[in-house]
Amino acid sequence: MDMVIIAGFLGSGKTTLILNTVDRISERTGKRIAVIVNDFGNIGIDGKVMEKYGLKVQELPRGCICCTLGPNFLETVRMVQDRYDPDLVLVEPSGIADPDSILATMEHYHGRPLGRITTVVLIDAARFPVLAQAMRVPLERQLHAADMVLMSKADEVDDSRLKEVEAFARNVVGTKPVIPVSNATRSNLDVFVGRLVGQ
Amino acid sequence: MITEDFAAYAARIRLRFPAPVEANRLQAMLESFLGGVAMDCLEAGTRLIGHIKSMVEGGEEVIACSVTDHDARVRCRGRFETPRAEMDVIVNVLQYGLAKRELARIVATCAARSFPGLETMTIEDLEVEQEALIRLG
Repeated sequence: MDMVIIAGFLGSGKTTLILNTVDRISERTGKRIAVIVNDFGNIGIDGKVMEKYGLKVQELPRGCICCTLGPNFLETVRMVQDRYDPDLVLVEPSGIADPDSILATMEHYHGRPLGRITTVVLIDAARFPVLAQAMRVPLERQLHAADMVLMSKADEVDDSRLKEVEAFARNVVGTKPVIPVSNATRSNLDVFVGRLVGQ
Repeated sequence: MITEDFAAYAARIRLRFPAPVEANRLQAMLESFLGGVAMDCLEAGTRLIGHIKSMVEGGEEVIACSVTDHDARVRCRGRFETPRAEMDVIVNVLQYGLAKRELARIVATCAARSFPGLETMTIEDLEVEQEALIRLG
């Protein structure tokens, strides 16, 4: 079972990205996909929305898997692996999660050996100036673990903003892929999926 | 990214109207509510809106709305299509700057303001253990 962590700050479009691409990933790879969602509250909104759109979702509500819910996360991954035996599990952590901490948590996984773990980090291009001012260091920390960066809401910004966001990302991730995407116009979602599945 | 001033509040708002309310009117109320929460948070001192989001339970439609920008613009996935006399709205407010009790007050105030003519409204805190959980992190 491979794992893809779809991380990114609150409101960056993680849930919508999963909703817009999970079918494409499945179609292009033939893989059976499970989704683990970590949200706030006893009733997670993101998981509920995904279920409404027909996905089978395992929720991990109340807290953040990168800190307080580490053991629960490992337990959930193991349960998903044992019960559903998917080829790929998509993990949507809460928007405050630090992907490095999730990867560190996964080092303690004692279930059946996992395949590849890929981390995708979304940066909200539309809100970038506000976020960079208020959350620069945490944003850089999120990017640290990224294998691929998606500049989300690209349809809402101009080229100069995208260049600004890309420069910020490149400063941390170097030559790793940095792709502008839009959930609204669906632009570059195929590029993202292609990169993710290696096609 | 749990900084000292981060706070999350999750609640279920159970709304009962004396008679079915038209779909467009419900949509307007819901959007007004979510935008109102964002604006009141900013007015009260929120430093950064993380994500303010809601989902309406019950019925076949998916109605999920959210605000991420400081202009309090509400974006929705799905709309009400049929009149309803009752609905449950799950709301999450994730922001930096205000304490949870202030978020609870704002949500209650905005709900009362945005859904006029209610027969009953109850608010259930879905985050009762969250404060302790966050502190552990």
